[in-house]
Amino acid sequence: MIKAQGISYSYKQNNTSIQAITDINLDILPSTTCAIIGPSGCGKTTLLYILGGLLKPEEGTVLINGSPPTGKRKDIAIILQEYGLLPWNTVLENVTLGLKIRGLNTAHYKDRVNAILEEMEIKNQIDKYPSQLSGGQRQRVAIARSLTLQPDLLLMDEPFSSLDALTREHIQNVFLNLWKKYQMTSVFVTHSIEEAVFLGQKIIVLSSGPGRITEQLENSHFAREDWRSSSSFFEQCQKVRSILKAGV
Amino acid sequence: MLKKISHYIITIIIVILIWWLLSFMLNNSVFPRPLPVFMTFFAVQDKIQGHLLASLFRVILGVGTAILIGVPCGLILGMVKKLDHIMAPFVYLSYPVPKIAFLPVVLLILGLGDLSKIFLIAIIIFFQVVVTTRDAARSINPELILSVKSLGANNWQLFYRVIFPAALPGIFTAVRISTGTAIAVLFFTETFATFSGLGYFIMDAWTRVNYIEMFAGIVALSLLGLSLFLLIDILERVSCKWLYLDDSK
Repeated sequence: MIKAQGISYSYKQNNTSIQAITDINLDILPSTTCAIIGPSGCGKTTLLYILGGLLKPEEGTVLINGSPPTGKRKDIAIILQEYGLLPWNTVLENVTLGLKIRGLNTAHYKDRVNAILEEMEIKNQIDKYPSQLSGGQRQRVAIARSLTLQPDLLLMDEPFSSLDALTREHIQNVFLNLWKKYQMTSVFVTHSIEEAVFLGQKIIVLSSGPGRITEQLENSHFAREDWRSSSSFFEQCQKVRSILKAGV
Repeated sequence: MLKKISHYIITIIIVILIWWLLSFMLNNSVFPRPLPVFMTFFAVQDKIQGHLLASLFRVILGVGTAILIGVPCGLILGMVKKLDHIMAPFVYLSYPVPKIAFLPVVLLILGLGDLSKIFLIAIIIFFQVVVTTRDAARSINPELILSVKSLGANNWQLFYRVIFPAALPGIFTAVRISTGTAIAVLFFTETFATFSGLGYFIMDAWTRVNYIEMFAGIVALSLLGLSLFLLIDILERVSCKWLYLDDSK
């Protein structure tokens, strides 16, 4: 699904350039989930933007199903940190935004949209504006918006980080159920070890800036809802924690 | 809503009371009491209405032209950093120039009619609108733009779905501030070489030493400003619904 080779990127700031990530190699299989974890400022978000085609890597290549992720690729959905909902649009307008932007007649997709709204439990919020929703509801709207496009690749930037603990766990479960149902390849960036271990089939640990990959872990027990309270979950978290510490 | 209306009524009563108190203390025919002024205001309605319409026409056309040209200019400058870099010195240098001082030049070139007055209002308002709109367009959360881009939006879609609505509240602020200025400019342009408009009405009453009628003109000009402010408020509430969600409950 995703093949990235030797990606590097640096930001220009006041005539100096700051290396954000360097020499990243990735191979993510279709219909899997992948967590990218690392300390603040390790270039996680930059890497996600590059995978989504929002930034062009200075060096290296990214191929999604064999072709580069230009901004027009229809099957990638990206959910950014603050969800990217338009404050002047209602929930329904936000959810159908992707369809409208692609020039599709939203009436034709009514059934699909309704099913998604129901699935995300926001059906009775459709006339509200984002500022009237809680953080968890906003995240549901953002997920619903990306699902309407039926993406085969979902990229998320710290999707659940601003939610309170219980809402976060609940919406992580919602996400897992969606993933099991739709099987879209999902890559998400996080700074939470528990989140990476719970949701990531593969866990990629980045070192602090410039970000480079310290280790890639296969995490076969992920996505089991009861796993959170088992001792092997804590062992896995401990393992990721020690790798993270070594990379700082 | 009812609360708001009663609030306004109380404010108007307080303003009239202060007016009455001042006129009572000054005890000078130059500063007449409110009651005779209001009576005259209604008595000379036929005369005032024509002047009011002339003024309204000039101020709306002046402000409207400034918005129609200024808003797109401001949005483009806010979006295209390179262009803003080139234009910023021009804007900053011409912004503080007292353009009202060019009245004689404008009158000589554009004539004594409405065009010169509208032009002067428009050119003064234009700079305020450009600068405020540009700053509003600049301060858009870049994540919003990226996220709509990631849905596949082209530049035009980005403009009308994100940048324009995001800048709209700022544009309304610009228009609101400008309207006060526009009325001041209007008054000034109407005091020269013209026989229509509230500015002329006020100055004419003054030269005829009819202070009560002069004040009736001042009241009319104030009402003109007030109704423009209300109009802007209503337009903003209709087009920026998401900002007034708590009020509608």
